[in-house]
Amino acid sequence: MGSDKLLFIEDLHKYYGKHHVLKGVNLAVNEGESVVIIGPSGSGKSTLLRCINLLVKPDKGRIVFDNEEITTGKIDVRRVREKIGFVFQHFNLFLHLTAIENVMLGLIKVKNYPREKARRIAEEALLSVGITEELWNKYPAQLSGGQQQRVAIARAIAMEPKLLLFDEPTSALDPELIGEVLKVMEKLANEGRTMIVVTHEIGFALKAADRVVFFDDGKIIEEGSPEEVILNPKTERARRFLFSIRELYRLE
Amino acid sequence: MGFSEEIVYLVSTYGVSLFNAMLLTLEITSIGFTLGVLLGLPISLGRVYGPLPLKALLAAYIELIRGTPMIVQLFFIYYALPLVGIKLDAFTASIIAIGLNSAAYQAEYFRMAFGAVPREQWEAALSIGLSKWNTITNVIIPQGVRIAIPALTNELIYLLKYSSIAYFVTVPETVYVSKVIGAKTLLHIQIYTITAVFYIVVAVVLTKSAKKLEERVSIPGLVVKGRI
Amino acid sequence: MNSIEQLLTALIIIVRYGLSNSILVSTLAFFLGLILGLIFVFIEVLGGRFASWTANLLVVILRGIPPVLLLFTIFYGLPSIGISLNNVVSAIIGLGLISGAYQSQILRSSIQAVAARQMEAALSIGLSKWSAYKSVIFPQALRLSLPGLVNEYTIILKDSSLAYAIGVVEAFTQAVHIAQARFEYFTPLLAVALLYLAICFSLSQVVNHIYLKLRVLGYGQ
Repeated sequence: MGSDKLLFIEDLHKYYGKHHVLKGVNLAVNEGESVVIIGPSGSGKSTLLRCINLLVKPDKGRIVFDNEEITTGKIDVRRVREKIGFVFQHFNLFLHLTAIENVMLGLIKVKNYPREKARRIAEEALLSVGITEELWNKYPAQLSGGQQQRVAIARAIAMEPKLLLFDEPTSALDPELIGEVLKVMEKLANEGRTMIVVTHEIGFALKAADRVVFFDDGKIIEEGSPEEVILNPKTERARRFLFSIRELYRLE
Repeated sequence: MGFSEEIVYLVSTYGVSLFNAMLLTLEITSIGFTLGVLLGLPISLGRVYGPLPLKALLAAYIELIRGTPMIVQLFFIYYALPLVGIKLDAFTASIIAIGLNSAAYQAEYFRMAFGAVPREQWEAALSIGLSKWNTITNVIIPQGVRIAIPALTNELIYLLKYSSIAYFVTVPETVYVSKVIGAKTLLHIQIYTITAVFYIVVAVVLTKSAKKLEERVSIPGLVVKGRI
Repeated sequence: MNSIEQLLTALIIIVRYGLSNSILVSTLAFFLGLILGLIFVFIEVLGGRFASWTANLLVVILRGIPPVLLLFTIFYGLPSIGISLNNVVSAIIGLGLISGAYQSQILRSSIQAVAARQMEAALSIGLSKWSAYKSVIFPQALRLSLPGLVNEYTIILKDSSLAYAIGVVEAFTQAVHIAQARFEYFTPLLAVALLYLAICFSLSQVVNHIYLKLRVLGYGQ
């Protein structure tokens, strides 16, 4: 089971103009694993995630996903994206559609399911993230941040992806709403979903991650179990970063 | 006769021709506007999402239309096109001139509206695997069109006024007929007052209806920033 | 004569005998509109309820009627109450009145945009409301209005072609006269179109330049 590598990133580089954002990233993720990536802002974590679902084109290196090399430039990008779910920091729900229509859009237009089937799947997905029926016909602007993000998660999982990517899913939320989203994410991790989560929530990392990666300045600095990396960081940089984060949490 | 008696006289004597002329004005305006939408929307899509040669061509078209007076465009279509064999009657020429003109302006309004749709909507759509075309039709256009409503309302009112260029090719619309009546009765100010009232009332009605429409199709809870 | 020659001769005639009137009418109408626009704005800001309401009504009327109609009213209608104006003056006044209505909107929105950010600051250093307007708001609002005003001039220039309706010999009228004399519309129309295009395009480049400069100064929109 351990050698079921769903995702394999090799020597990934990305430049924005002269700015070298990703400096040779190597990462392997097994099926069923939840990997949490922590690190300072601007280190390139978001860019890394966006390379995986090809929203951003890497300049060098390769990515193998589901036994297929997706960085060759000859593949059907849409098909790859169907299999990867992405949850954004700012939710990015379709503003002109209701919650349930948001979840149904991909099912109807991408998977070509008939309306009734799409509706059923959407309802299930919404219920599984705790969005109950009275919210289904609300528009994003009428929902709280936590509700919007959970709808966004439902939208992603309704597509039955093989991999879930979370880009700082709780960073744009008011503190009291963070918990409900983290709970959903913990549930997904416990269900055995393959997920990569970029976050500052080290409490979540300790509870739900199989592996933690410390990312800084475009590279992976340290990697290991949550206890190893967060509680006993080996590198100087990791230690400095985690010290200030842990300070913050101890004060809460 | 006093002013009000003169007005009554004009309305009772020429009421029918005035009414028909006003109907014609409304016809020209609505058909011209509709043409503008039907052409303007595809043009704006081509401008934003098309290949480079198409973008350049459309940009040139828009610059051409916006850089010349509408009356020049009308005269071109009515008087110069017959040279290449296209002979149109005055009414059709007017509608086409107004439609082509409006399309150029509407294309710009649509383009700005699509630009006002947050970029993140694209990312979200692509990340669930929607194709470019599906994203445009299912995510960008529905939001963009709502944003464009105020600008389109202004355009409609503008066309209402400028439907009067049909006067220059002797289409018997409101301004033309008013002038004829004025010349006949020498009651210029009186007749022009009547037609002015017509234009203003229609403009106000259109504005109020557009506001209502905007409210009805607005996305609940969402306050649109950046008005055009 | 081949077509290029015809095009050039048409162009020369239009420029020599028509363009000056186009520019004359447009420029005078623009400044009339600027003065009126400022008056409208003053009334709205400082005037009483009745004055504001009247000014607003005037703006609605001027923005709601076809320009040609106003030209007819001034040129054909006013003589019956004793005011006889020649066609050039009528055109200037007509276009100027309409432009005043639009310029008042441009100026007002710039003033509001600046005041939203600067009024509090001005008042809290002790300036009176009037001083605040005079020293802080108006200077900035005028700068902010520049792109809109230049754009408005372009619009007036194009509308000046409508003065053909009352016989003013401006560029477009000149083109039509040439067309009627030669029994051929394409060449003179092309000539005058190119002329308008050249002027309007240059003006739109000026507008873009001003926009960029404003951005640099911090008036990003």
